[in-house]
Amino acid sequence: MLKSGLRTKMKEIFNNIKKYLPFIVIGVFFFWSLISVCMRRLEENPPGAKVIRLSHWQLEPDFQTAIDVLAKKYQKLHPDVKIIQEAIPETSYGQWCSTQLMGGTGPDLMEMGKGLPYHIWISYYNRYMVPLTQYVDKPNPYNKDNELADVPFRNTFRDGMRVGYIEELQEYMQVPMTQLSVRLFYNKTLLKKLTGLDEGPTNYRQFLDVCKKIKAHKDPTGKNYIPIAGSKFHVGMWNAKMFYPMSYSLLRYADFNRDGYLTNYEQYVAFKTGELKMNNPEYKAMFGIMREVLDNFQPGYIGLNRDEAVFTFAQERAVFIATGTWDSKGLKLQAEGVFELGVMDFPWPDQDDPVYGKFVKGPVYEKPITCVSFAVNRDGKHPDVALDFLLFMASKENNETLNKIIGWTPCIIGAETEDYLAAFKPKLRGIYPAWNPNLGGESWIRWLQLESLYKVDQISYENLCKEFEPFYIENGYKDYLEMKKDWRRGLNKNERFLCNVRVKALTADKENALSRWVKYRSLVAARQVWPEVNQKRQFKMVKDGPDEDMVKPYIYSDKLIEKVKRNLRKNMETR
Amino acid sequence: MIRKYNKQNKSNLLGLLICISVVLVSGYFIYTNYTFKKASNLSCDELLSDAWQNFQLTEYNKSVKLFEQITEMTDKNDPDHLKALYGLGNVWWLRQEGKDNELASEYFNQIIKIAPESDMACWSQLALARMLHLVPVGSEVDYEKVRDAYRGVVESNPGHPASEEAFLYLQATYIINSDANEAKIALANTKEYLKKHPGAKFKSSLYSIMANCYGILKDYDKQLAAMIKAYKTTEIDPESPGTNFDNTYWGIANVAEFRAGRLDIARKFYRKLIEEYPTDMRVYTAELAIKRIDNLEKKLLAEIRIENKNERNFQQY
Repeated sequence: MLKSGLRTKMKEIFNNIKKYLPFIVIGVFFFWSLISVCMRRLEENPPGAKVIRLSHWQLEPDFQTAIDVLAKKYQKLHPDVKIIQEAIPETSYGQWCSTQLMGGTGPDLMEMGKGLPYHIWISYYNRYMVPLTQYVDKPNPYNKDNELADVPFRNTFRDGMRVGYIEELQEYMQVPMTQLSVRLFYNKTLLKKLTGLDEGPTNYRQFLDVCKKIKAHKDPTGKNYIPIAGSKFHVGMWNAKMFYPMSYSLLRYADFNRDGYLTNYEQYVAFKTGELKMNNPEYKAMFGIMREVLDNFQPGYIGLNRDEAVFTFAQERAVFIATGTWDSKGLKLQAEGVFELGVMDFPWPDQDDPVYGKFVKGPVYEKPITCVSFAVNRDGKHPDVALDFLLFMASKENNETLNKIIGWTPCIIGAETEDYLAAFKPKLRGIYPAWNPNLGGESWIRWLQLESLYKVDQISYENLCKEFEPFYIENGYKDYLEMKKDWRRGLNKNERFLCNVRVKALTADKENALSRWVKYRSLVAARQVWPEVNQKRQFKMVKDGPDEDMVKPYIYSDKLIEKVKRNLRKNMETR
Repeated sequence: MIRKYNKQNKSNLLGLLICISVVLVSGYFIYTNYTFKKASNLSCDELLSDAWQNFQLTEYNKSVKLFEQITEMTDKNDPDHLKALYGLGNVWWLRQEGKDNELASEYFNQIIKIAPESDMACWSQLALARMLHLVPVGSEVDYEKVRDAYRGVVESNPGHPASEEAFLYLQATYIINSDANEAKIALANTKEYLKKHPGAKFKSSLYSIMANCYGILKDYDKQLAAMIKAYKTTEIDPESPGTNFDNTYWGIANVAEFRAGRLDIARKFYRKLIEEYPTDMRVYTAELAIKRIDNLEKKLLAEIRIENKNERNFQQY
């Protein structure tokens, strides 16, 4: 009887368990996850520790490893600090930042610039981030044992920390961590097999010959090998490094405001007055070299995206691919054990080139571009510690470590890089394009359409000129007027900005007053006075052309030569 | 019964929704009232600071509320009252949505009426002039009216920072059309002003105005001299001593080389650009310019020597 009673009880318990099994399972898992979360939180936030959260969108595994390495190093120096990084996918980064910042739970260090329109980032800098201007002219304390010990922080960067300066706020707001540049990667193994060459050819004519040889061979699938893997994304790099700089010499005909650059309105004025034409020899050279190089891209490249081109290269169907330091480690890993990877500069023609030599006035200039910039959240619990960690990461030694692990180029002067990245050192002396047809609106759309057709050889150069030039001259004026309206809208925005700066100056204490007033006055001149003067002059030039007696900007007039001669004679006589 | 049950459920749900709404709305009013009451415990200085902070963050309605609170708390002759009115004027003028220039003008004029000699009155006069100058897109600026307005600021507030700023804007209106007669006016005005106000804070900008005037009048030697003076009198921010002179150096070198024929000055400023701004895009172009200058000088010196030799030979003969 006892046995049957126990059995009944057991059956009852079993039935109850069966009845409430889902709830039991949920309960168990709930408590298990609760404990896990709590344990993890404790591990991440030990009691008494200063926790610094760092967020970014760099999902490359080596980037996270590099941050971890530096975090551990920093924590050794500062045992009361705990650094946690949060890697957020690119596609949701913008929304994530917005909700975190607005909710007051933003990370202490935030990588800036992805996933939101620029003006939104400006408002976030303004509302949530700590201005760093007061720190950038002092040396970085973490450089105290190297040659940068006494160098102001911003001057330790290869670009002078220009990217850290936010014009709209007139403050330094962020610190970059790496430097980008673009080169040609090539499959050394395939190059040797198809052409017999051990190294990539940097001479332009040799490069074209090599491309011809590559095309003549067939791959295992029976298709012709592709000399250059390309896509819509990659063409932009070739434009900047090989095609557009061919136009450099035309600067001397159209730099009417003498600032050393060819702006969009100057190009328009030059075309309107006949100073420049699409069939100028320099433009002809620009489109000529474009044709020659793009004929070595794979068919249909203009419709491909970046990954498809990289895939073509990784599959050993193409020999060359243009890309930046951001892809270098990935390509190296893909090539490992499969083929030998080489890096070379773009095969810019030299001055002896039979066709382009006379247009080549020098190497192509590369602006040092620093990026992966972090700002300090003023709502964080320990902004001073966050800033300190940022300075730590931006010291010469640590920036070198960070970038070596990731396979990128350091942005701090003197920091060394991997041997294979030596080729990525930017060229700071060189020529640049004198080609700027972007007035927005219809003329720009027409240009993009025609340029695309030209790039895929569906329109000849002659027809490109015939189709574009009259359209540009006729419609460019309308488009320019639209741009002018945007500028005028900007004046009110500037006035609002200046009002804030003025109030800061009016309410400054004695210590800060001088600096605030100097800032205010320089902004009044730079943002409101001179832009209006320049805009009016631009408009007059666009409408009426340059003054009749105006000498071409970079030509010595006879009058000037006489004047110089007079001065030289005078100097000779006084000696 | 089921129908009755459903009807009961519906009315329960409705009742619940009404309760939640009441709670939410009450909560909102309590919160805003609390925030407002909290604000009213602050001093005028703190309220002004909050008001401007809200303006900077484009929270214009909050900014207006705070400025209005200050005006209610203070007597009309109180400096804080004037500051609050100035704030209201700026918010209604410069806000993106709900802009009301008329209301803004009323506030600025109120300040001028209450305390015509005050600091805020000067800034208000300048604001009224700027309102005339910054017309909406599609409208034309009436430069005569604008010039009168700036002149008014300059003449009624000599020595005040707003007056100096107004003077700069005024002279700029004379050079925008690149008209020789107007340039002469601006040049004469600026020279006189700098003579009377040797300590002018906008000195560098005023020398730039003069440089522009000389450029319009094609007196390139004086243009170059004025550009160099503008450079030498540039104010340096003590908090950020790294002022950018790259464009200044390039501009001086270019005018020296191609307008004034002063190759020595051109060389000097191209070299300054190269040395002080090694990452500037124009460095290589500056190097080519120096080579070009050297070649030109060599060629001209050779010509001069030949000419001198021929002259000596002629004289001997």
